Amino acid sequence: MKHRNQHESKESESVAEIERLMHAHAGKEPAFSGLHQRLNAIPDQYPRQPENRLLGQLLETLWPSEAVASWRLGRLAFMALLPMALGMSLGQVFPEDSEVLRVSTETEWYYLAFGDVSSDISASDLADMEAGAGAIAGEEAP
Amino acid sequence: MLGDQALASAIADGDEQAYQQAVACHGRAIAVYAWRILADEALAEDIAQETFIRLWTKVSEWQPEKASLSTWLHRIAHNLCVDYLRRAGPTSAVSADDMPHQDDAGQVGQNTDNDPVFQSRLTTQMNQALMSLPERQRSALVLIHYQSLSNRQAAEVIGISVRALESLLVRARQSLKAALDLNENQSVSSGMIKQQRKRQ
Repeated sequence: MKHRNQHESKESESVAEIERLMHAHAGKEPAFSGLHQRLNAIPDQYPRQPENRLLGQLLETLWPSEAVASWRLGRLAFMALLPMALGMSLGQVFPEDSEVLRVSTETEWYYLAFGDVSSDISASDLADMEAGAGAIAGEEAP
Repeated sequence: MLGDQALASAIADGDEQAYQQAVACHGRAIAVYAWRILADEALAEDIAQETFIRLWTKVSEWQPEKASLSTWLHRIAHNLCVDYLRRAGPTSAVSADDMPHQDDAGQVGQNTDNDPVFQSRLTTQMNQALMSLPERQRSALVLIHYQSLSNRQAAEVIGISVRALESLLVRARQSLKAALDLNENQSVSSGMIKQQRKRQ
């Protein structure tokens, strides 16, 4: 125990001695005259626009503002381009278990081809369809 | 004076005044750190320039929740120094002799000891001993003792855990002492240590 304490004491003395020497040595550094001018010149050498403005400009170039405003058109364009880019059909792009996504995509394709026709359905037709659906559900119920 | 986050945000928006404030706050510290690692003033300025180019162009990559701006800049400078040392290889590594001696050092710090002979020899001996250490040990000592970073900050700069840094520091101090003792026969390092002890 005594031996261990002596060893630790010697070790801490050694550390303190090194720290004293390093402290005495710390001040001797180059002046680096002209460093600040060199560093301050960087913005002139690397002119740039703020990132968010750059991103905005990029989006505006790639995607006209009218199209950005129309989220549906954007989604349609993406869904139209994706299978084309992959050279696949919709069924191949979306796996079988992603049924909701696939149906949604097909609906979007329908809208793309024929427009939104939901408003063309009359209220009486809609009531008939709902009644029919209810009857089917009733038949299937135990 | 802007805080770290406001400063970084302003720099990201292209505010040159904010960038100049960052240069005023951290420029010299980064150059000194690179100089301590590479022992070459011109190289250290190049490293500082590259570090601040990154600050100007990629400040959005700084994550304030992970490290302070100073720590982030030190880490960039550290990685650039390590890259340089690896590229240059051991044959072209800068020797301690390239470090300035007392006479050509830009300024002398606030030392209580005004003996010029003692100071000059101390500078030479310490430079040689520091440059003889492995890069990681040297970085750990420099970050803690010269750059005054906390153990946690220094660990983040080097990219190791705090415990690993503490272990590295112990080895670094032992290596430095051994390097100083090794020069005992060739120089006056031992005498200097004894001389300093007497003065205290």
